[in-house]
Amino acid sequence: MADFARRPGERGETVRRLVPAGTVFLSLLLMALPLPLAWGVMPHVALLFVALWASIQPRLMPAWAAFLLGLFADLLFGGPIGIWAFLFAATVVGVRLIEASTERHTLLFDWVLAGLLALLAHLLAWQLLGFMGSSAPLTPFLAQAALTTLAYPPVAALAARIQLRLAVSAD
Amino acid sequence: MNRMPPPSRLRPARRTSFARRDSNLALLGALFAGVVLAFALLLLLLQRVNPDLGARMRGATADALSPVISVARAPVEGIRRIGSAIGEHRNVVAENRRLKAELNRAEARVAQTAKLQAEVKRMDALIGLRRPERRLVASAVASAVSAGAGQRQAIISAGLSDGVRPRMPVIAAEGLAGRVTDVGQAAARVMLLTDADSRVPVKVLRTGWTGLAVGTGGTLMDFQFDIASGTDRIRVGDRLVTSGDGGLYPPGVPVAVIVDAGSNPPRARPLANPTGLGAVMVEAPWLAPPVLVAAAPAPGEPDRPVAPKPTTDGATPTVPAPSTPAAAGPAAPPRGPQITPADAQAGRLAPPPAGPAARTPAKL
Repeated sequence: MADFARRPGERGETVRRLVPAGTVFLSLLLMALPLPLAWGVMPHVALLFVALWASIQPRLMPAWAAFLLGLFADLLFGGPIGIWAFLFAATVVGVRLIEASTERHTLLFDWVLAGLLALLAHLLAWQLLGFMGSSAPLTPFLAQAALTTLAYPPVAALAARIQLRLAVSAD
Repeated sequence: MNRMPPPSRLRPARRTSFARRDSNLALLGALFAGVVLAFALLLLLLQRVNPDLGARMRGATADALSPVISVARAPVEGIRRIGSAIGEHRNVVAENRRLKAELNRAEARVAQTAKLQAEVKRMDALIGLRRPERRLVASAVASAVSAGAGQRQAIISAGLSDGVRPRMPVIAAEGLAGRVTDVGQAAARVMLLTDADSRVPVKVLRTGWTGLAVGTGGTLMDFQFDIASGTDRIRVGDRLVTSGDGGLYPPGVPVAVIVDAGSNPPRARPLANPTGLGAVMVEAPWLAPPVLVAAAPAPGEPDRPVAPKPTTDGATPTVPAPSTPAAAGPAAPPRGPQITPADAQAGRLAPPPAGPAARTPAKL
């Protein structure tokens, strides 16, 4: 447990507010690392974190924060600026709408939902890239969506751990 | 995930007295979210209209990202080096024998090449050929960025201050790496060959067929080409080199090797491994784009016949002018009214003439 969590001071509060955005930021940097991957496709961990935080800590992942993080993602990935900014913000809005209409949360339900969200986001990303004049084929996007879906359980477990610490330090 | 979070200050329990305020806030929040989404779409639309808008910002990010990546790539690069060192040590003897044999063959070939080179230079001088020269702009260290789906990019450690500009070809030790897309002050972003938007004009070294090496966003490239021969075909191991078409990439730079000739289109593996580029050269675009100036068209040269039978009156016998069917030319058969297919199509023959004269032109 970090030291800042014990202190009820102003700094701990600020740090805690920045934790969700920080996880997304770090996972974006992780995705941009020159890792020697077989297919060159990483699971979109940042997208998963955005969806998870929008679900379990909606006040700490507002749409505008997701927009700013997405803007950073666009700059990092070197694509047209605005694609992931739009998709991250849309993810937050979508998750909010789903949260408002559903009550039960089983892991399977969340998993399926995350998979659908990832698929939708990547299809939209592909469409938007096509609109911006790129001729990218669909396969890598589908591959990344599938990898993202597979990566959901560990990422969700990580987010749940961080969330628990946030909750403990809030007491 | 599947447990309720304990009550916290961040998510206070809802109270009835705050219900109205909450709903107002929710409405405001939804409105704000809508504005954010619209702004993102507007951003995309603006770039669609003006694609240069995002280039400067991306260049600035490349600047900021370059040190981060150079730190982060150190362990990755180290592991890769250790792996390749182990692999090299295991078959160093066999490798040494093979290299010695290859060196012997290469030495013989060098002598031959030097002779041919002198010959080519002499021929070039003889016919006054102007051969554009390749010009090195900068040398840099590249490291791949494995980020979005379909995008294959690298950051190189040279930028605007080194003279690097967008469009410049980037060449690694093993072959072509890609081309510069965005530049920052001290770093630049390179679109790799395997990027889904990458198209490189190439030719097959063995057959001379030209085509495009098309990036797919994966690890392999498609080789799109027009079949130029009915008897030969692409084989596994055929090497693709740049053809120089388009004027951007200098010709003769190795690009890829065919690994799957059976699929349609054939798949090729880039010779420069995108994840281990190492040191690269940035070159100026091979051919400068032509600056067009107004000039009078070249005069005709009457003393040099281009056709075997020069016609004097200008009218060609095979295509008669439709307005003067009677003066169709000396080659038309001298019987009956002159009827040409062009006339028949234009509907110039109003009355259908009976007799053999009407049918004869159909046999022509």
